[in-house]
Amino acid sequence: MRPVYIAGTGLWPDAGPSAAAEAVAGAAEPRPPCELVPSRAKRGTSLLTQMMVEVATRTARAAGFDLGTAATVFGSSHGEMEIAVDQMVMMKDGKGLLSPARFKNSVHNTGAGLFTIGAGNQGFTTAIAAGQDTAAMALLEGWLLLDRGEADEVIVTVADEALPEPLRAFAPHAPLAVGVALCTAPPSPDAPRIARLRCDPAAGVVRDARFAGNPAAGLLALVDAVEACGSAAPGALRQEPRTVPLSLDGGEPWCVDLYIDGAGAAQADPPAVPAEP
Amino acid sequence: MYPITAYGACCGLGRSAAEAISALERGARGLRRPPFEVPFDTVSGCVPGPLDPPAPALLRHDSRLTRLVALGYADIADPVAQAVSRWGAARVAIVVGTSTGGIERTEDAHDAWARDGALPDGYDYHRQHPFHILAETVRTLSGATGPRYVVSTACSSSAKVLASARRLLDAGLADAVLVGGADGLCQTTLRGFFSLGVLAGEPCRPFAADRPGMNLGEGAAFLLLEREPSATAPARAHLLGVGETSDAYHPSSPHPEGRGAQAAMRAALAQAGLDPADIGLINAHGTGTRHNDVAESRAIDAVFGGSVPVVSTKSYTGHTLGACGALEAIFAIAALERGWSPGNLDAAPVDPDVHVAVPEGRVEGPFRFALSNAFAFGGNNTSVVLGSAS
Repeated sequence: MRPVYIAGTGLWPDAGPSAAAEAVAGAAEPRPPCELVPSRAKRGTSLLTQMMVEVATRTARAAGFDLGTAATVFGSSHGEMEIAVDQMVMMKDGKGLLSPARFKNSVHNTGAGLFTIGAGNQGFTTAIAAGQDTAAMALLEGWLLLDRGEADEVIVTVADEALPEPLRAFAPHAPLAVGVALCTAPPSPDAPRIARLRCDPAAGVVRDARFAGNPAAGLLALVDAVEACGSAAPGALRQEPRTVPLSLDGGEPWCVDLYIDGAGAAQADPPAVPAEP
Repeated sequence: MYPITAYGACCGLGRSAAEAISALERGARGLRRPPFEVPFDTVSGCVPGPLDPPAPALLRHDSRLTRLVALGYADIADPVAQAVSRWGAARVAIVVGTSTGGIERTEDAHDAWARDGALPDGYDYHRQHPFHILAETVRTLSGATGPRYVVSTACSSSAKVLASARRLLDAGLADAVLVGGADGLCQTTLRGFFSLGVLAGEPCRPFAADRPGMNLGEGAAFLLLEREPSATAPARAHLLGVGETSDAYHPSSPHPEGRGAQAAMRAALAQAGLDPADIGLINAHGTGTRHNDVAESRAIDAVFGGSVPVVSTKSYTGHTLGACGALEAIFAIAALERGWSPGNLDAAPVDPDVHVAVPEGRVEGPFRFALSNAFAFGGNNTSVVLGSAS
């Protein structure tokens, strides 16, 4: 696959100059504002869906992408478990029926659907799940759209929240949603670009204590690396690519090479890198 | 364009694709009582016969989903083994779709927890419920170790996997892709669709004027795409194009004129390099709800006009949700291979708002090209164009 550029990133809880610290500090924020969609359309949606829509919107705006036309890929390992378990409680009450408003928001692509409705976007969207590899596989699906010329701008958003009781012990992590905006044309001369999505055990796995196993932390590792490179002194960290792991322990060792070397200025069309694996 | 060299499935019509296609030829419905109690009357496309516990390697993942996957996979196991041997395990990717994963295990565990105050022994959320267990199960069964993930866009899930497979092959990340979809009957979807007021107590009759609504079904369906066919794995059909669009209209109702559906069908045709007149058969999403059937028929009419035969095989299988894209692609391929398609069951008298051809009884081909639709909550539309191998 050809390298692609990162035109912007987004986070919820709130991002700042240092994504990590701000994300934890912002954890008290009860719900993302999610202003893209009218409050009526938000009724019956989960925190997961609201995080996804919020972060996809933030990411698109950070990148200067058109919300109405950018392709979107949403990834989540657990999906709409808040609603799934809520419905299991409803089954034991009264006639044992479900709330139509909850049921229609129970599908894995609820965030994808609500984003397209809020943005008036009639283009491509999808919803991916791949356990601990969710960030890597969502990135892959978005990258493929660019590589095959099916889109010029792609927003990849991954998110997961803690499981509700009685399942909480299986996944008690803090909620997190992360987005990256990808494009084929360099958005600025020193825009970061990624190449060679591959499996490499030497790259290690994402161990993010802040989010304690939230599968979305895989994409946070990339956002953090972009920040770390971007804040380095000019000339530093700029010639050699940095290998960034994307998967959590228990997944495949997916990783990607991150370049911030000013190649965008010289090369509108950077050289192809052999595809792996 | 990639060859589809094998397919396999189980659904309410049979325990293999051959059994299901034979049942279609007989005009048999695969609808019966659900395998568990629900607080209303309905019939569902339950897989006939016992669903056996999985092999020891999958026992910790045991769920209705895993059992369906093992049964459906058995129907394609030999060609997949041949592809893994031909291309190498790391060059065979897995992209599969499901709507609810192994949720039925958690429904049972939640009942036990509400009753006993503790989750039951043997319940393991991580190994039994999440979506990706579908991909892990297929990996264990096949030995394929290429990229693997699940697409879960509700009822279009296992149509979208065909587009993902094409991109993986185009980009050189795989030489073969095993795609498919699976969903088992569960309380959540049966009660959910009943609560929406669209679940029928009797067999569904898509496109009929007095249709009663939809039925659910279950199943697992797989297709094998390879970079090139071989003497031992000839093409059974070709994947020519997939269109993927959004309605941007409503979370659970289609756009009344099928705006996104039209765009998906046009995009699939454009990718295939075909004109609407080339399509000889349409396997409709055809759920049997008024909203879907009228919007879809308007979209088909706008793109193709009213003469191409439109068939909903959901009148035989029920709506298999995350499996329907792959299962109905198989039925469309069977029509290309055999030169006939089953007709709609009991569609007459047809809804006066439906202005496309919805034949009852066997539709005679031959067909060179077929289109299969899969639409989903969230306004997610996918259309697949398939071509005959000859």
